[in-house]
Amino acid sequence: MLLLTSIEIENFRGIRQGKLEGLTDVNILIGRNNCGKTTVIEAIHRSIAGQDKVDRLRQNIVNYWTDVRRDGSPHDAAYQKCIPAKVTVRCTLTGYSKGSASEINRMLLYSMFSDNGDSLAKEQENSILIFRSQVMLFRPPDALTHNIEQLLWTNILADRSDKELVKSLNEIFSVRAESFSMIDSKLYILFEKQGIPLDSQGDGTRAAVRTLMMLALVKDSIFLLEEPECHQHPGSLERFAIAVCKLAKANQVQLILSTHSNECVRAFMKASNQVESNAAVFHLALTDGLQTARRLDTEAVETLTDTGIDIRFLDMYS
Amino acid sequence: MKTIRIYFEGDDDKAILEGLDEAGLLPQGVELAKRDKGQNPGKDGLIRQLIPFVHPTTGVGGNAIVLVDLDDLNIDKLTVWFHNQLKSQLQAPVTCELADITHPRLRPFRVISGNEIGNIVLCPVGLPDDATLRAEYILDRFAIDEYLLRLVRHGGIYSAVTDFSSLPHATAMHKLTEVGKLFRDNGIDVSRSKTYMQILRAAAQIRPATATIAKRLVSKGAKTIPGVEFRELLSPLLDDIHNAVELLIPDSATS
Repeated sequence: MLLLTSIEIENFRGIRQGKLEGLTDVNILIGRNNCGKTTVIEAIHRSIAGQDKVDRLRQNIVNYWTDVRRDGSPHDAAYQKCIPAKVTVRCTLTGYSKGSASEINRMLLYSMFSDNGDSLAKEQENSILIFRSQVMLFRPPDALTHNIEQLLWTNILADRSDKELVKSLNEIFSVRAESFSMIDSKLYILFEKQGIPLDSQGDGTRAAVRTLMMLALVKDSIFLLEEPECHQHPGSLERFAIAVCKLAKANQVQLILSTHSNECVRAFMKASNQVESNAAVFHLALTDGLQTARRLDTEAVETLTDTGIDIRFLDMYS
Repeated sequence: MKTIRIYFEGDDDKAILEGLDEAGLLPQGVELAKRDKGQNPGKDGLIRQLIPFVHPTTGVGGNAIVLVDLDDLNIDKLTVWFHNQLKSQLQAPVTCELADITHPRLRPFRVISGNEIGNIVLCPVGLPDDATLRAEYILDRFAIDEYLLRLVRHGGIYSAVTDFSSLPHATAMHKLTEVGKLFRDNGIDVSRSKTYMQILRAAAQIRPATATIAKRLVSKGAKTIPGVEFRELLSPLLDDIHNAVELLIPDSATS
Protein backbone atom coordinates (compact mmCIF):
# COMPACT_ATOMS: atom_id res chain seq x y z
CA MET A 1 0.00 0.00 0.00
CA LEU A 2 1.29 3.42 -0.89
CA LEU A 3 0.78 6.18 1.60
CA LEU A 4 1.19 9.89 1.16
CA THR A 5 3.32 10.70 4.20
CA SER A 6 4.17 14.33 3.61
CA ILE A 7 3.41 17.21 1.32
CA GLU A 8 5.35 20.42 0.84
CA ILE A 9 3.74 23.33 -0.92
CA GLU A 10 5.41 26.44 -2.29
CA ASN A 11 3.71 29.40 -3.91
CA PHE A 12 0.38 27.74 -4.41
CA ARG A 13 -2.74 29.85 -3.90
CA GLY A 14 -2.57 31.41 -0.40
CA ILE A 15 0.37 29.28 0.66
CA ARG A 16 3.81 30.73 0.10
CA GLN A 17 5.33 27.87 2.04
CA GLY A 18 3.84 24.97 3.96
CA LYS A 19 4.49 21.41 4.95
CA LEU A 20 2.41 18.59 6.39
CA GLU A 21 4.36 15.66 7.79
CA GLY A 22 3.27 12.41 9.32
CA LEU A 23 0.19 11.79 7.23
CA THR A 24 -1.35 8.44 8.05
CA ASP A 25 -4.41 6.32 7.21
CA VAL A 26 -7.05 8.83 8.29
CA ASN A 27 -6.08 12.50 8.26
CA ILE A 28 -8.33 15.27 9.49
CA LEU A 29 -7.49 18.84 8.53
CA ILE A 30 -8.87 21.52 10.82
CA GLY A 31 -8.26 25.23 11.22
CA ARG A 32 -9.85 28.61 10.81
CA ASN A 33 -11.28 29.88 7.54
CA ASN A 34 -8.58 30.76 5.02
CA CYS A 35 -5.92 28.66 6.71
CA GLY A 36 -5.46 26.65 3.53
CA LYS A 37 -7.35 23.41 4.15
CA THR A 38 -8.91 23.37 0.71
CA THR A 39 -5.63 24.49 -0.80
CA VAL A 40 -3.88 21.47 0.68
CA ILE A 41 -6.62 19.23 -0.69
CA GLU A 42 -6.40 20.88 -4.08
CA ALA A 43 -2.61 20.58 -4.09
CA ILE A 44 -2.84 16.88 -3.29
CA HIS A 45 -5.58 16.36 -5.85
CA ARG A 46 -3.76 18.16 -8.63
CA SER A 47 -0.28 16.89 -7.92
CA ILE A 48 -1.15 13.27 -7.19
CA ALA A 49 -3.45 13.00 -10.19
CA GLY A 50 -0.46 14.29 -12.11
CA GLN A 51 -0.26 13.85 -15.85
CA ASP A 52 -3.58 12.05 -16.07
CA LYS A 53 -5.30 15.35 -15.44
CA VAL A 54 -8.68 13.68 -15.14
CA ASP A 55 -10.50 11.72 -12.52
CA ARG A 56 -13.44 9.49 -13.17
CA LEU A 57 -15.93 12.13 -12.28
CA ARG A 58 -14.43 15.30 -13.61
CA GLN A 59 -13.11 15.55 -17.11
CA ASN A 60 -10.22 17.79 -16.22
CA ILE A 61 -8.91 18.37 -12.72
CA VAL A 62 -7.19 21.63 -13.49
CA ASN A 63 -10.31 23.03 -15.14
CA TYR A 64 -12.40 21.77 -12.23
CA TRP A 65 -10.34 23.68 -9.66
CA THR A 66 -10.13 26.73 -11.89
CA ASP A 67 -13.92 26.67 -11.93
CA VAL A 68 -14.25 26.08 -8.16
CA ARG A 69 -11.94 28.99 -7.42
CA ARG A 70 -13.57 31.16 -10.08
CA ASP A 71 -10.09 31.72 -11.47
CA GLY A 72 -9.73 33.47 -14.76
CA SER A 73 -6.90 31.19 -15.71
CA PRO A 74 -4.70 28.49 -14.19
CA HIS A 75 -2.07 31.23 -13.61
CA ASP A 76 -4.24 32.44 -10.77
CA ALA A 77 -3.28 29.38 -8.75
CA ALA A 78 0.11 30.94 -8.05
CA TYR A 79 0.75 32.63 -4.72
CA GLN A 80 -0.44 36.23 -4.91
CA LYS A 81 -1.17 35.51 -8.59
CA CYS A 82 2.51 36.13 -9.27
CA ILE A 83 3.42 35.40 -12.89
CA PRO A 84 5.65 33.63 -13.67
CA ALA A 85 5.42 31.69 -10.42
CA LYS A 86 7.43 28.73 -9.36
CA VAL A 87 4.63 26.66 -7.94
CA THR A 88 5.92 23.52 -6.31
CA VAL A 89 4.18 20.64 -4.59
CA ARG A 90 6.36 17.85 -3.29
CA CYS A 91 4.61 14.71 -2.15
CA THR A 92 6.41 11.95 -0.32
CA LEU A 93 4.92 8.53 -0.83
CA THR A 94 5.90 5.67 1.38
CA GLY A 95 5.25 2.09 0.45
CA TYR A 96 4.32 -0.55 2.94
CA SER A 97 4.16 -4.26 2.26
CA LYS A 98 0.91 -5.93 3.22
CA GLY A 99 0.73 -6.86 6.88
CA SER A 100 4.08 -5.31 7.61
CA ALA A 101 4.89 -1.91 8.95
CA SER A 102 8.37 -1.92 7.46
CA GLU A 103 9.05 0.72 4.92
CA ILE A 104 9.98 -0.79 1.58
CA ASN A 105 10.55 2.29 -0.44
CA ARG A 106 10.28 6.01 -0.28
CA MET A 107 9.87 8.23 -3.23
CA LEU A 108 9.14 11.74 -4.10
CA LEU A 109 6.50 12.96 -6.43
CA TYR A 110 7.81 16.24 -7.56
CA SER A 111 5.21 18.36 -9.20
CA MET A 112 5.54 21.73 -10.68
CA PHE A 113 2.63 23.43 -12.26
CA SER A 114 3.69 24.75 -15.59
CA ASP A 115 2.04 27.67 -17.31
CA ASN A 116 -0.98 25.70 -18.43
CA GLY A 117 -1.55 24.30 -14.98
CA ASP A 118 -0.45 20.76 -15.77
CA SER A 119 1.61 18.91 -13.21
CA LEU A 120 4.74 17.05 -14.23
CA ALA A 121 5.89 13.91 -12.51
CA LYS A 122 9.32 12.39 -12.43
CA GLU A 123 8.30 8.98 -11.17
CA GLN A 124 6.63 6.68 -13.60
CA GLU A 125 6.53 3.44 -11.73
CA ASN A 126 3.46 1.34 -12.23
CA SER A 127 2.27 1.32 -8.65
CA ILE A 128 2.56 5.05 -8.50
CA LEU A 129 0.68 5.43 -11.74
CA ILE A 130 -2.15 3.34 -10.33
CA PHE A 131 -2.03 5.31 -7.10
CA ARG A 132 -2.21 8.54 -9.03
CA SER A 133 -4.92 7.51 -11.42
CA GLN A 134 -7.23 6.44 -8.60
CA VAL A 135 -7.22 9.57 -6.46
CA MET A 136 -10.74 10.91 -5.94
CA LEU A 137 -12.24 14.03 -4.41
CA PHE A 138 -15.66 14.55 -2.85
CA ARG A 139 -16.81 18.05 -1.96
CA PRO A 140 -20.12 19.12 -0.36
CA PRO A 141 -21.69 20.24 -3.67
CA ASP A 142 -21.17 16.68 -4.97
CA ALA A 143 -23.81 15.44 -2.53
CA LEU A 144 -26.49 16.79 -4.81
CA THR A 145 -24.83 15.87 -8.09
CA HIS A 146 -26.76 13.08 -9.76
CA ASN A 147 -24.23 12.59 -12.52
CA ILE A 148 -22.07 10.73 -10.00
CA GLU A 149 -24.23 7.65 -10.35
CA GLN A 150 -24.77 8.28 -14.05
CA LEU A 151 -21.02 8.13 -14.58
CA LEU A 152 -20.08 5.53 -12.01
CA TRP A 153 -22.98 3.12 -11.57
CA THR A 154 -21.68 0.65 -14.16
CA ASN A 155 -18.39 0.48 -12.27
CA ILE A 156 -20.24 0.00 -9.01
CA LEU A 157 -22.16 -2.93 -10.45
CA ALA A 158 -19.03 -4.41 -12.02
CA ASP A 159 -17.71 -5.61 -8.68
CA ARG A 160 -21.10 -5.55 -6.91
CA SER A 161 -20.07 -2.73 -4.61
CA ASP A 162 -23.78 -1.93 -4.58
CA LYS A 163 -24.31 -4.70 -2.01
CA GLU A 164 -21.96 -3.07 0.47
CA LEU A 165 -23.56 0.27 -0.34
CA VAL A 166 -27.01 -1.01 0.65
CA LYS A 167 -25.61 -2.47 3.85
CA SER A 168 -23.96 0.84 4.73
CA LEU A 169 -27.11 2.79 3.92
CA ASN A 170 -29.13 0.58 6.26
CA GLU A 171 -26.56 0.87 9.04
CA ILE A 172 -26.12 4.63 8.78
CA PHE A 173 -29.78 5.60 8.59
CA SER A 174 -31.44 2.59 10.24
CA VAL A 175 -33.56 1.82 7.18
CA ARG A 176 -34.34 -1.45 5.42
CA ALA A 177 -33.32 -0.89 1.84
CA GLU A 178 -33.01 -4.03 -0.24
CA SER A 179 -31.08 -2.80 -3.24
CA PHE A 180 -30.44 0.01 -5.67
CA SER A 181 -31.62 0.21 -9.24
CA MET A 182 -30.81 2.62 -12.03
CA ILE A 183 -33.98 3.46 -13.98
CA ASP A 184 -33.96 6.08 -16.72
CA SER A 185 -30.66 7.51 -15.48
CA LYS A 186 -32.10 7.88 -11.99
CA LEU A 187 -30.82 5.89 -9.06
CA TYR A 188 -33.61 4.33 -6.97
CA ILE A 189 -33.41 2.90 -3.50
CA LEU A 190 -35.60 -0.18 -3.41
CA PHE A 191 -37.42 -0.99 -0.20
CA GLU A 192 -39.73 -3.95 0.33
CA LYS A 193 -42.82 -2.20 -0.97
CA GLN A 194 -41.55 0.84 -2.81
CA GLY A 195 -38.75 2.33 -4.80
CA ILE A 196 -37.67 5.88 -4.02
CA PRO A 197 -35.33 7.96 -6.18
CA LEU A 198 -32.14 8.81 -4.31
CA ASP A 199 -32.74 12.47 -5.08
CA SER A 200 -36.10 12.29 -3.26
CA GLN A 201 -34.24 11.37 -0.08
CA GLY A 202 -32.86 13.90 2.36
CA ASP A 203 -29.55 15.57 1.65
CA GLY A 204 -27.80 13.50 4.32
CA THR A 205 -28.73 10.27 2.58
CA ARG A 206 -27.78 11.64 -0.83
CA ALA A 207 -24.41 12.82 0.49
CA ALA A 208 -23.66 9.54 2.25
CA VAL A 209 -24.62 7.32 -0.69
CA ARG A 210 -22.69 9.38 -3.21
CA THR A 211 -19.63 9.64 -0.99
CA LEU A 212 -19.56 5.90 -0.45
CA MET A 213 -20.24 5.27 -4.12
CA MET A 214 -17.18 7.24 -5.09
CA LEU A 215 -15.05 5.79 -2.31
CA ALA A 216 -16.02 2.26 -3.36
CA LEU A 217 -14.30 2.83 -6.68
CA VAL A 218 -11.01 4.00 -5.22
CA LYS A 219 -8.40 1.31 -4.65
CA ASP A 220 -4.86 1.73 -3.28
CA SER A 221 -4.96 5.49 -3.44
CA ILE A 222 -6.27 8.60 -1.73
CA PHE A 223 -9.81 9.77 -1.11
CA LEU A 224 -10.11 13.48 -0.45
CA LEU A 225 -13.23 14.47 1.42
CA GLU A 226 -14.27 18.01 2.27
CA GLU A 227 -16.62 18.65 5.18
CA PRO A 228 -18.17 15.18 5.46
CA GLU A 229 -20.38 16.47 8.28
CA CYS A 230 -22.44 18.47 5.78
CA HIS A 231 -26.11 17.43 5.86
CA GLN A 232 -25.49 14.76 8.53
CA HIS A 233 -27.19 14.46 11.89
CA PRO A 234 -24.49 13.77 14.55
CA GLY A 235 -25.83 10.26 15.08
CA SER A 236 -25.74 9.48 11.38
CA LEU A 237 -22.35 11.13 11.11
CA GLU A 238 -20.85 8.62 13.53
CA ARG A 239 -22.18 5.68 11.54
CA PHE A 240 -21.26 7.35 8.27
CA ALA A 241 -17.69 7.80 9.53
CA ILE A 242 -17.52 4.11 10.40
CA ALA A 243 -18.77 3.14 6.94
CA VAL A 244 -16.22 5.45 5.28
CA CYS A 245 -13.31 4.24 7.42
CA LYS A 246 -14.29 0.60 6.99
CA LEU A 247 -14.51 0.91 3.22
CA ALA A 248 -11.28 2.90 3.04
CA LYS A 249 -9.49 0.25 5.06
CA ALA A 250 -10.85 -2.56 2.89
CA ASN A 251 -9.79 -0.76 -0.29
CA GLN A 252 -6.43 0.33 1.15
CA VAL A 253 -7.39 3.93 0.68
CA GLN A 254 -5.87 6.81 2.59
CA LEU A 255 -8.44 9.35 3.77
CA ILE A 256 -7.70 13.05 3.88
CA LEU A 257 -10.62 15.12 5.03
CA SER A 258 -11.24 18.68 6.13
CA THR A 259 -13.79 19.87 8.62
CA HIS A 260 -14.89 22.65 10.93
CA SER A 261 -16.83 20.27 13.15
CA ASN A 262 -15.69 18.79 16.44
CA GLU A 263 -18.34 16.13 16.06
CA CYS A 264 -16.79 15.16 12.76
CA VAL A 265 -13.30 14.97 14.28
CA ARG A 266 -14.61 12.78 17.08
CA ALA A 267 -16.62 10.59 14.71
CA PHE A 268 -13.71 9.89 12.39
CA MET A 269 -11.23 9.37 15.23
CA LYS A 270 -13.59 6.91 16.85
CA ALA A 271 -14.33 5.21 13.54
CA SER A 272 -10.67 4.86 12.61
CA ASN A 273 -10.00 3.36 16.02
CA GLN A 274 -12.88 0.95 15.53
CA VAL A 275 -11.53 -0.31 12.20
CA GLU A 276 -7.96 -0.32 13.59
CA SER A 277 -6.65 2.40 11.30
CA ASN A 278 -4.30 5.14 12.42
CA ALA A 279 -5.64 8.65 12.57
CA ALA A 280 -4.18 12.11 13.01
CA VAL A 281 -5.55 15.61 13.22
CA PHE A 282 -3.65 18.43 11.53
CA HIS A 283 -4.38 21.89 12.83
CA LEU A 284 -3.47 24.36 10.11
CA ALA A 285 -2.69 28.03 10.53
CA LEU A 286 -1.63 30.53 7.91
CA THR A 287 0.31 33.74 8.54
CA ASP A 288 1.72 35.85 5.71
CA GLY A 289 1.62 32.88 3.39
CA LEU A 290 3.45 30.59 5.81
CA GLN A 291 1.29 27.62 6.62
CA THR A 292 2.05 25.72 9.80
CA ALA A 293 0.59 22.35 10.59
CA ARG A 294 0.40 20.94 14.08
CA ARG A 295 -0.10 17.18 14.10
CA LEU A 296 -1.99 15.52 16.92
CA ASP A 297 -2.54 11.82 17.27
CA THR A 298 -5.73 10.28 18.65
CA GLU A 299 -4.48 10.10 22.21
CA ALA A 300 -3.37 13.73 22.24
CA VAL A 301 -6.70 14.88 20.82
CA GLU A 302 -8.57 12.92 23.47
CA THR A 303 -6.44 14.24 26.32
CA LEU A 304 -6.61 17.83 25.13
CA THR A 305 -10.35 17.58 24.66
CA ASP A 306 -10.74 16.04 28.12
CA THR A 307 -8.90 19.01 29.61
CA GLY A 308 -11.32 21.42 27.95
CA ILE A 309 -9.45 22.43 24.82
CA ASP A 310 -11.40 22.91 21.62
CA ILE A 311 -8.78 21.68 19.17
CA ARG A 312 -10.20 23.89 16.44
CA PHE A 313 -8.80 26.84 18.40
CA LEU A 314 -5.34 25.42 18.98
CA ASP A 315 -3.74 28.58 17.62
CA MET A 316 -4.94 30.38 20.77
CA TYR A 317 -2.33 28.47 22.74
CA SER A 318 0.74 28.07 20.57
CA MET B 1 -1.21 37.11 23.69
CA LYS B 2 -1.38 33.33 23.71
CA THR B 3 -3.66 31.83 26.28
CA ILE B 4 -1.84 30.28 29.24
CA ARG B 5 -3.36 27.24 30.90
CA ILE B 6 -3.21 26.45 34.59
CA TYR B 7 -2.94 22.77 35.43
CA PHE B 8 -3.55 21.62 38.98
CA GLU B 9 -4.00 18.49 41.03
CA GLY B 10 -7.36 18.20 42.70
CA ASP B 11 -10.82 19.47 43.40
CA ASP B 12 -9.78 21.88 46.14
CA ASP B 13 -7.22 23.52 43.84
CA LYS B 14 -9.89 23.80 41.17
CA ALA B 15 -12.40 25.33 43.59
CA ILE B 16 -9.93 27.92 44.86
CA LEU B 17 -8.77 28.81 41.36
CA GLU B 18 -12.33 29.11 40.12
CA GLY B 19 -13.16 31.34 43.06
CA LEU B 20 -10.17 33.54 42.27
CA ASP B 21 -11.14 33.63 38.62
CA GLU B 22 -14.70 34.67 39.43
CA ALA B 23 -13.37 37.34 41.74
CA GLY B 24 -11.27 38.67 38.86
CA LEU B 25 -8.03 37.98 40.68
CA LEU B 26 -6.37 35.75 38.11
CA PRO B 27 -4.29 37.41 35.42
CA GLN B 28 -5.87 38.05 32.05
CA GLY B 29 -5.23 35.48 29.37
CA VAL B 30 -5.13 32.43 31.60
CA GLU B 31 -7.62 29.61 31.66
CA LEU B 32 -8.04 26.65 33.95
CA ALA B 33 -7.52 23.20 32.51
CA LYS B 34 -10.27 20.71 33.13
CA ARG B 35 -8.95 17.88 35.26
CA ASP B 36 -10.21 14.37 34.76
CA LYS B 37 -9.37 12.88 38.12
CA GLY B 38 -11.20 9.67 37.35
CA GLN B 39 -8.89 8.61 34.55
CA ASN B 40 -5.90 10.70 35.54
CA PRO B 41 -5.71 10.81 39.31
CA GLY B 42 -3.02 12.49 41.37
CA LYS B 43 0.25 14.03 40.33
CA ASP B 44 0.96 11.35 37.71
CA GLY B 45 -2.40 11.99 36.11
CA LEU B 46 -1.67 15.69 36.11
CA ILE B 47 1.57 15.11 34.20
CA ARG B 48 -0.19 12.83 31.69
CA GLN B 49 -2.78 15.52 30.98
CA LEU B 50 -0.13 18.23 30.79
CA ILE B 51 2.18 16.59 28.25
CA PRO B 52 0.00 16.92 25.12
CA PHE B 53 -0.43 20.61 25.88
CA VAL B 54 3.27 21.43 26.20
CA HIS B 55 4.79 18.86 23.84
CA PRO B 56 6.35 20.92 21.06
CA THR B 57 5.85 18.46 18.21
CA THR B 58 3.09 15.98 19.00
CA GLY B 59 1.11 18.41 21.12
CA VAL B 60 0.19 22.05 21.28
CA GLY B 61 3.55 23.55 22.31
CA GLY B 62 1.65 25.73 24.74
CA ASN B 63 2.45 27.73 27.87
CA ALA B 64 1.39 26.16 31.16
CA ILE B 65 1.47 27.02 34.83
CA VAL B 66 1.46 23.84 36.87
CA LEU B 67 0.38 23.93 40.50
CA VAL B 68 1.71 20.94 42.42
CA ASP B 69 1.29 20.33 46.13
CA LEU B 70 4.56 20.21 48.00
CA ASP B 71 3.30 17.42 50.27
CA ASP B 72 6.36 16.26 52.21
CA LEU B 73 8.92 17.65 49.76
CA ASN B 74 10.73 20.95 49.66
CA ILE B 75 10.82 23.05 46.51
CA ASP B 76 14.11 21.64 45.27
CA LYS B 77 13.00 18.06 45.74
CA LEU B 78 9.66 18.76 44.08
CA THR B 79 11.53 20.34 41.16
CA VAL B 80 13.69 17.26 40.74
CA TRP B 81 10.63 15.01 40.92
CA PHE B 82 8.77 17.13 38.37
CA HIS B 83 11.75 17.24 36.02
CA ASN B 84 12.11 13.48 36.19
CA GLN B 85 8.42 13.01 35.50
CA LEU B 86 8.65 15.20 32.40
CA LYS B 87 11.77 13.43 31.18
CA SER B 88 10.14 10.04 31.60
CA GLN B 89 7.23 11.14 29.41
CA LEU B 90 9.33 12.66 26.64
CA GLN B 91 11.27 10.80 24.00
CA ALA B 92 14.34 11.98 22.07
CA PRO B 93 14.79 14.30 20.31
CA VAL B 94 12.44 16.14 22.63
CA THR B 95 14.22 17.38 25.74
CA CYS B 96 13.19 19.17 28.86
CA GLU B 97 15.38 21.67 30.63
CA LEU B 98 15.08 23.82 33.69
CA ALA B 99 15.48 27.44 32.62
CA ASP B 100 18.20 29.53 34.22
CA ILE B 101 15.91 31.94 36.05
CA THR B 102 16.19 32.60 39.76
CA HIS B 103 12.95 32.82 41.65
CA PRO B 104 12.37 31.78 45.26
CA ARG B 105 9.53 29.41 44.39
CA LEU B 106 8.78 29.27 40.67
CA ARG B 107 10.68 26.89 38.42
CA PRO B 108 10.43 27.47 34.66
CA PHE B 109 10.94 24.51 32.30
CA ARG B 110 11.25 24.42 28.55
CA VAL B 111 10.23 21.41 26.49
CA ILE B 112 12.26 21.63 23.31
CA SER B 113 12.42 19.95 19.93
CA GLY B 114 14.48 21.90 17.41
CA ASN B 115 12.89 25.30 17.07
CA GLU B 116 9.66 24.18 18.67
CA ILE B 117 9.16 24.92 22.37
CA GLY B 118 6.57 24.34 25.04
CA ASN B 119 6.89 26.25 28.32
CA ILE B 120 5.99 25.29 31.85
CA VAL B 121 6.28 27.15 35.11
CA LEU B 122 6.15 24.84 38.09
CA CYS B 123 4.44 26.52 40.98
CA PRO B 124 4.83 24.63 44.28
CA VAL B 125 1.70 24.83 46.41
CA GLY B 126 1.58 24.83 50.19
CA LEU B 127 2.68 27.01 53.06
CA PRO B 128 5.62 25.36 54.81
CA ASP B 129 6.90 28.80 55.81
CA ASP B 130 3.71 29.83 57.60
CA ALA B 131 4.96 29.56 61.18
CA THR B 132 1.50 30.12 62.69
CA LEU B 133 -0.11 27.26 60.83
CA ARG B 134 2.81 24.94 61.41
CA ALA B 135 2.86 25.64 65.13
CA GLU B 136 -0.86 25.55 65.71
CA TYR B 137 -1.70 22.53 63.59
CA ILE B 138 1.61 20.63 63.56
CA LEU B 139 1.59 20.34 59.78
CA ASP B 140 4.30 18.45 57.95
CA ARG B 141 2.62 17.84 54.56
CA PHE B 142 1.72 20.89 52.54
CA ALA B 143 -0.98 21.55 49.98
CA ILE B 144 -3.49 24.15 48.80
CA ASP B 145 -5.67 23.51 51.86
CA GLU B 146 -3.36 25.69 53.95
CA TYR B 147 -4.95 28.63 52.17
CA LEU B 148 -8.36 27.34 53.21
CA LEU B 149 -7.17 27.15 56.80
CA ARG B 150 -6.06 30.76 56.55
CA LEU B 151 -9.45 31.77 55.18
CA VAL B 152 -11.46 29.98 57.88
CA ARG B 153 -9.21 31.42 60.56
CA HIS B 154 -10.33 34.88 59.44
CA GLY B 155 -13.47 35.61 61.46
CA GLY B 156 -15.00 37.92 58.86
CA ILE B 157 -14.70 35.39 56.05
CA TYR B 158 -15.79 32.48 58.22
CA SER B 159 -18.91 34.32 59.33
CA ALA B 160 -19.78 35.26 55.75
CA VAL B 161 -20.08 31.62 54.73
CA THR B 162 -23.54 30.52 55.83
CA ASP B 163 -22.57 26.83 55.90
CA PHE B 164 -20.69 27.60 59.13
CA SER B 165 -23.61 29.40 60.78
CA SER B 166 -24.29 26.59 63.28
CA LEU B 167 -20.80 26.85 64.70
CA PRO B 168 -19.44 30.17 66.02
CA HIS B 169 -15.98 31.07 64.76
CA ALA B 170 -14.26 30.96 68.13
CA THR B 171 -15.73 27.53 68.87
CA ALA B 172 -14.75 26.25 65.44
CA MET B 173 -11.14 27.34 65.89
CA HIS B 174 -11.04 25.78 69.31
CA LYS B 175 -12.48 22.52 67.98
CA LEU B 176 -9.88 22.40 65.23
CA THR B 177 -6.95 22.46 67.59
CA GLU B 178 -8.67 20.37 70.23
CA VAL B 179 -9.72 17.55 67.90
CA GLY B 180 -6.38 17.64 66.14
CA LYS B 181 -4.59 17.19 69.44
CA LEU B 182 -6.99 14.45 70.48
CA PHE B 183 -6.30 12.56 67.26
CA ARG B 184 -2.55 12.90 67.63
CA ASP B 185 -2.69 11.81 71.29
CA ASN B 186 -4.43 8.67 70.12
CA GLY B 187 -1.90 7.92 67.41
CA ILE B 188 -3.99 9.16 64.50
CA ASP B 189 -1.97 11.07 61.93
CA VAL B 190 -3.12 14.66 61.58
CA SER B 191 -0.41 16.41 59.67
CA ARG B 192 -2.26 17.84 56.69
CA SER B 193 -4.41 20.92 56.43
CA LYS B 194 -6.91 18.88 54.41
CA THR B 195 -7.61 16.78 57.50
CA TYR B 196 -8.35 19.93 59.49
CA MET B 197 -10.83 21.04 56.86
CA GLN B 198 -12.53 17.67 57.20
CA ILE B 199 -12.63 18.07 60.97
CA LEU B 200 -14.20 21.48 60.50
CA ARG B 201 -16.80 20.08 58.11
CA ALA B 202 -17.69 17.43 60.66
CA ALA B 203 -17.81 19.91 63.54
CA ALA B 204 -20.02 22.34 61.64
CA GLN B 205 -22.11 19.50 60.21
CA ILE B 206 -21.58 20.67 56.67
CA ARG B 207 -22.94 18.50 53.86
CA PRO B 208 -21.24 20.02 50.80
CA ALA B 209 -17.79 18.75 49.82
CA THR B 210 -14.67 20.59 50.92
CA ALA B 211 -14.24 21.85 47.36
CA THR B 212 -17.65 23.50 47.46
CA ILE B 213 -16.81 25.14 50.78
CA ALA B 214 -13.43 26.18 49.38
CA LYS B 215 -15.06 28.02 46.52
CA ARG B 216 -17.49 29.73 48.87
CA LEU B 217 -14.66 30.79 51.18
CA VAL B 218 -12.74 32.38 48.32
CA SER B 219 -15.82 33.96 46.85
CA LYS B 220 -17.04 35.40 50.17
CA GLY B 221 -13.52 36.38 51.17
CA ALA B 222 -13.04 38.42 48.03
CA LYS B 223 -16.30 40.28 48.69
CA THR B 224 -16.11 40.60 52.47
CA ILE B 225 -12.68 41.86 53.39
CA PRO B 226 -10.42 44.55 51.88
CA GLY B 227 -8.60 43.44 48.74
CA VAL B 228 -5.14 43.95 50.18
CA GLU B 229 -5.97 41.83 53.19
CA PHE B 230 -7.51 39.12 51.04
CA ARG B 231 -4.52 39.00 48.73
CA GLU B 232 -2.28 38.74 51.77
CA LEU B 233 -4.18 35.64 52.89
CA LEU B 234 -3.66 34.10 49.47
CA SER B 235 -0.01 35.02 49.31
CA PRO B 236 2.19 33.70 47.78
CA LEU B 237 -0.21 31.68 45.59
CA LEU B 238 -1.71 34.68 43.82
CA ASP B 239 1.62 36.41 43.38
CA ASP B 240 3.15 33.21 42.07
CA ILE B 241 0.48 32.84 39.41
CA HIS B 242 0.95 36.44 38.30
CA ASN B 243 4.72 36.08 38.30
CA ALA B 244 4.48 32.83 36.38
CA VAL B 245 2.53 34.58 33.64
CA GLU B 246 5.28 37.20 33.44
CA LEU B 247 7.90 34.46 33.15
CA LEU B 248 5.96 32.83 30.35
CA ILE B 249 5.20 36.06 28.54
CA PRO B 250 7.79 38.59 29.71
CA ASP B 251 6.06 41.68 28.32
CA SER B 252 2.64 40.76 29.73
CA ALA B 253 1.13 43.25 32.13
CA THR B 254 -0.62 41.41 34.93
CA SER B 255 -2.64 43.06 37.59
